Amino acid sequence: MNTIYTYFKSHKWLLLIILLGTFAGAVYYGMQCKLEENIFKLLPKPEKSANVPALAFSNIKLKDKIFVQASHAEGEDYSEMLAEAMDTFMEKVWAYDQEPRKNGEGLGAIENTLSEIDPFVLLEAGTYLMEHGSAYLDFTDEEMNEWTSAEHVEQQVQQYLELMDTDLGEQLYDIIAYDPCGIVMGGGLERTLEEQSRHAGEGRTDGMKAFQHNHIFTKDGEACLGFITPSFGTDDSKKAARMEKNLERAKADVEEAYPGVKIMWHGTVIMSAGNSLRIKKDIATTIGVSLVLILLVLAWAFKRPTYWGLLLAPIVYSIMLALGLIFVARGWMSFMALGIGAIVLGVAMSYCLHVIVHYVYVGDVEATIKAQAKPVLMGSITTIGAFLGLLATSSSLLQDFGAFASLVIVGTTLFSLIAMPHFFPKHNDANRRAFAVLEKINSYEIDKNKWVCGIVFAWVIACCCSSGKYEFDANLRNINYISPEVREAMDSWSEKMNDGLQQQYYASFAETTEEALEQLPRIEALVDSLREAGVVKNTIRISGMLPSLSKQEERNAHWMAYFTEEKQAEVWRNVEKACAKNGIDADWFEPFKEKMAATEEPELLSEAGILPDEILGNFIENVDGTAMVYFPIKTTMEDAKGVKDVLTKMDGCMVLDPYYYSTDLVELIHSDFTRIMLISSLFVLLLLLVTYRNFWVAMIVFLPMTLSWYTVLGAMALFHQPFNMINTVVSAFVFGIGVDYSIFIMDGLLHGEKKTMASHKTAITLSATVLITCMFSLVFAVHPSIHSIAFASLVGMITTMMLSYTLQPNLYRLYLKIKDKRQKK
Amino acid sequence: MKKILAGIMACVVVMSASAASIQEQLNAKHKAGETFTAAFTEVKMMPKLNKETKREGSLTFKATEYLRMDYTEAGEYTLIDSGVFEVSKGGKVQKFPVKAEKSKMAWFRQMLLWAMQGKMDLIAKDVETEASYSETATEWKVVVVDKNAKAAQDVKKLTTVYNKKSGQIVSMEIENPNGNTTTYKMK
Repeated sequence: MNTIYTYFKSHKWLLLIILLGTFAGAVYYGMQCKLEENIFKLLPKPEKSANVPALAFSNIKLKDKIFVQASHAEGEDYSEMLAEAMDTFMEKVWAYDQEPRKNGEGLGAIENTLSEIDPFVLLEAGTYLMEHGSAYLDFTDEEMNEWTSAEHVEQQVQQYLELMDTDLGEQLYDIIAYDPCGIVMGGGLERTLEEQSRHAGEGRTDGMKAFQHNHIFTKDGEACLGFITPSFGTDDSKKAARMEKNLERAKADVEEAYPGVKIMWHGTVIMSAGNSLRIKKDIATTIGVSLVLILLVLAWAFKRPTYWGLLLAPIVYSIMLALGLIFVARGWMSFMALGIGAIVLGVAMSYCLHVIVHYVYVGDVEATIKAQAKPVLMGSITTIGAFLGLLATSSSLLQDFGAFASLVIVGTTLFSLIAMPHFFPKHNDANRRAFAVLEKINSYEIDKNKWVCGIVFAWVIACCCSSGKYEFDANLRNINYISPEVREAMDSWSEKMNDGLQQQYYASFAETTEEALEQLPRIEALVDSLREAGVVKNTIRISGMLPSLSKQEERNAHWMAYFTEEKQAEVWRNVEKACAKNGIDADWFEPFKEKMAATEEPELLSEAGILPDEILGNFIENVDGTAMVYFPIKTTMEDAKGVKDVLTKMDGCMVLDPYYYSTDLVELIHSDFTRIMLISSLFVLLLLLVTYRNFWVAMIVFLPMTLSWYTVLGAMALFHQPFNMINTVVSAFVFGIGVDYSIFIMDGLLHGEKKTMASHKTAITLSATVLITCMFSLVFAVHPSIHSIAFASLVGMITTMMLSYTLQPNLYRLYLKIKDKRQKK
Repeated sequence: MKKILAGIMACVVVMSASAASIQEQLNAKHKAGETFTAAFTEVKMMPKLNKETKREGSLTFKATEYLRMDYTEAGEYTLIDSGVFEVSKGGKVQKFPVKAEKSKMAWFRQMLLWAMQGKMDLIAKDVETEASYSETATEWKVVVVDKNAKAAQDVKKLTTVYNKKSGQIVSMEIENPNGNTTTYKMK
C-alpha cells in the first residue's frame, strides 16, 4: 500500500484524473439506474408448472382495481345523491387524469372506470343471451315437454301481455319474442338461478342486491360503489402517487359539492404507492435526523471541516460507483435494497474512521497506511465475502443488496487506503478534548469488570440457548404498510360487501380462453365440495355465464335433437293457438320459431362485443399470453389459507394472491440465506486462519461474530420479535461489522501498543455511535419493514461491540496464559 | 342508351339539389337559442299485439340542448338537458346515462334534439346514410332509414315533418326494428 502511496504522491495529477474520471462516469451511469419499487419483482418468479403459470402478477389488471365507495354520514336515504356524487367523482378523476402536465400531456393513469351501468347494455346482453339461448340452457326432455305444452304456452303468453302494460314489458318486447314458452324467462332461467343459488352458498347476490339509479350499491344501500382500472401496475409507484393526488383532489371537490358524502378508496396500486411514500418519509425522518446527530458528533470530534469531507467523500464516491456499475451490468436495482444498503454505509464509514483516527493519533501518513492496511483490508475482504454470498441466492432483493454492499465496501476501502491519505491535512489536529473524552471512556478496562463481563456472558448464553426458537414470518403482507385511510376503506368494504368474510379471486388459467373455460367446471366442482363442507361460504359460478365453446356445442346439439321438425311444428301450433286466443299476432314470436329450427354458432361471450371491457375485465383477462377466467370465493379468515392450499393444487387453478406464492418463495430465500451465511462464515474463518496462521487467534476473532449472530436470533425469540425477509437480510450486516470490530481489537491486542489499541477503540466507539444512532432512529419508523430492522440491528450492534470489548481480550489473555504455561513446561 | 343515362344523371342531380335545398332551408329556419312550445300527442303502436297507447301533453324546446315534454298524467315527463336524459313515469324517475360516447341513450337524446332543430342531415350522417327529402305545399318531409339498426332500442326509421313557414316540427315518427312505432304530433 505504501508503494502505491509513494507512486501517487509523485503523480498526484494521475490520481486526480483517475478519481474524477471514475467519479464522473459513476455519476453519469449511476443517475440512470432505475430504482425498482415493486417488492414482487424482487422475488424469484414461480417456475411455469401445472399449478402456476409463469406470469408477472404485476400485469394482472383485476388485482390492481381501485375500489371506490361513496357513503353518507346519515345512512341510506341518500342513494340518488350518492349516485350523483360517484358520477361527479369519476368525472373529476378523469378530468384530472387528462389535465395537461408540464410535458403537455395528461397523466393517463386510468384505463377505465365503472360506476354507472347503462341499462341498454344489460338489455343488449339479454337479447344476445336469448339469441344464443340454446347454448346457455341445460334441460331435460321432460322439462322441455312441460314448457312447450299448449297449457304452459298459453299461460306464458297471458303473463307476457300483462307485462306489456308496464314500462318494463315495453323494454322487454324483443327479448320476450324469443321465448313464448318461458323456457328461459320462466322455467329454465328460474331453474338456472335456483341452481346458481344452491351452488353459490350464502348471500348469492354478492352483497350487490341494490342496483339503483343505474349504479351499484352495497346491499344495505348505504354506499355507492365504483371501480377504477389503472393503466399501470403496482411497479409504477410514481404514477400511483400522482394518481392518488388526483383522487384526493376529486374527493375534495365532491365532498364540498355534496355535504355529508364521504369518498373512500382502496386497492393494491394505492397500497403500493402508500408503501413507497411511507418508506421515503421514514428514511427522510429517521435516517435524516440521525445523520444530523452523527454529523454533529463527528464535527465535535474532528473539528477541521477537511476531516468531514474526508469522511463523506469515500461514501459518496462508493455509492455512485456501486450504482453506476449496477446500471451498466443490469440497468436497475431494488429501491428497497438501496434503502437497506444505507445501513452498510455505516460499515463503510467505519473503515474511513479507522484510517482517519489513526492518522489523528500518529500524524504520519505512511505510518497510518502501514498500520491500517492489513486490518482494513482484512475487515473489508471478510465483509465483502459475506455480502458476495448473497449473489448466489435466487432473490433479486438479496442479489441487489449483496452487490450494492460489496461494491460500496470495495469503493470505500480503496478510496480510504489509496486516495484519502493524499488529502490528509498537514497538521493532525483534531479536537484533542473530544479525543481525550473518548480515550478516557475506552481506557476503562471493561474486560476486567466481572459484573459487566458476567452480564454480557449471561445475556449471550441465554440468547444462544433460545436461538433455535426464533420465528420467521414469511408473509410479506405483514411487512406492508397500510395507511389509516386505506385501512378504513378496506374494513368498510369487507363489512358491507363481504359480511366480514375474506373475498379472494381465483383463476382458471390456460393457453386459450376456451381451454380455461373448459376446465372451469372441474374447478367449480371442487369449490362445491368445499362449500358443502362449510369451508367456502360464497362463490359465483362463472361457467354458467361463460360456457366454453364445447359446452355450447353440446347444449346446441341437445337442443337440435329435441326440436325435430315434428316437434317444431307441434310447439309452433301451440304458440299460434295461444296468440289467437289472446288476440295477438304469432309473428311476434317469429324469432323463437327461427331459433327452434337453427341454433346460433357457438361464440365466447368475451368475444361477442356485448359487454364493455370495464365489466368483462372482472371475469376474463389475457395476461402475458395466458388466458385467465376469474371467480371469487368468500371464506372466513381462518379457512382462507386452507382453501388456497386445496384449490391451487388443482391443475390450471391459481389464486390471485401474490403473497400466497411469495410465502413459499420467501421461506426458500430464508433457507437460502441461512445456508449462504454458513458458507460465508466458513470463508471468513478460512481467511482468518490464513492471515493469522494461528488457530486460536483466528477462533478468538471469529467467536464474537458468531456469538453475536446467535445472540440476535435468541433475542428475537425471547422478545417475540419475528424475523422477516427484511430484518433477516439486514442482520447480515451485524455479521459484517462483528468481523471488523474483532479484527481491529485483535490487531490492537497483537500489537500490544496502547496507542494502536486506543486508536482502534476510538474508531470503533465512533463507528458504533454512528451505527447505533442510525439503528435507534429506525425505532421511530412507521413502515413495518423498516421498523422491524431496528430491534435486530440494535441487539446485534450492541452485542458485537460488547463481545469485542469483553470476551475477546479475556480469551486472548487466557490464550497467552496457556501459551506461557506450555512454553514454561 | 346515352339518353337514358343522361336522364338518370339529371334526375340524380335534381334530387340532390332538392335535398340540399330543403336541408339548407330547414337550417336557415332554425337559429341558436330558438324556443318552441306546443301541445302534442304521443301514440305508441305495437302492431303485432294490436296495442295502441296514447298520451298527451305540452312540449318546450330550447335550442340546442333543452327539451321537456310534460304529460297530462301528473308528474310524468321526459326531460333532456345538458348531460341529462330523465324520464318520469308511473311515479318512477329514470335517469339514463348519456355521458359515455357509446351510450345508446346518448345517441337517442342527440337524435331528438337534432330532429327538433331540423338537422336531419346530421342524424343521417351519424348512421352513415342519406336522408330523403320530399315536400308538399306547406310541409317538408324528411326520412332517415338506418339499415344497420337491429337491436330493439335502435331506430330503424325516423320520419319528421316540418312546417315550411316556421320550420318547426309538425310530427315525428320513430320506428323500431321490431315494427313498433312511436309518433309525436304537434297540435
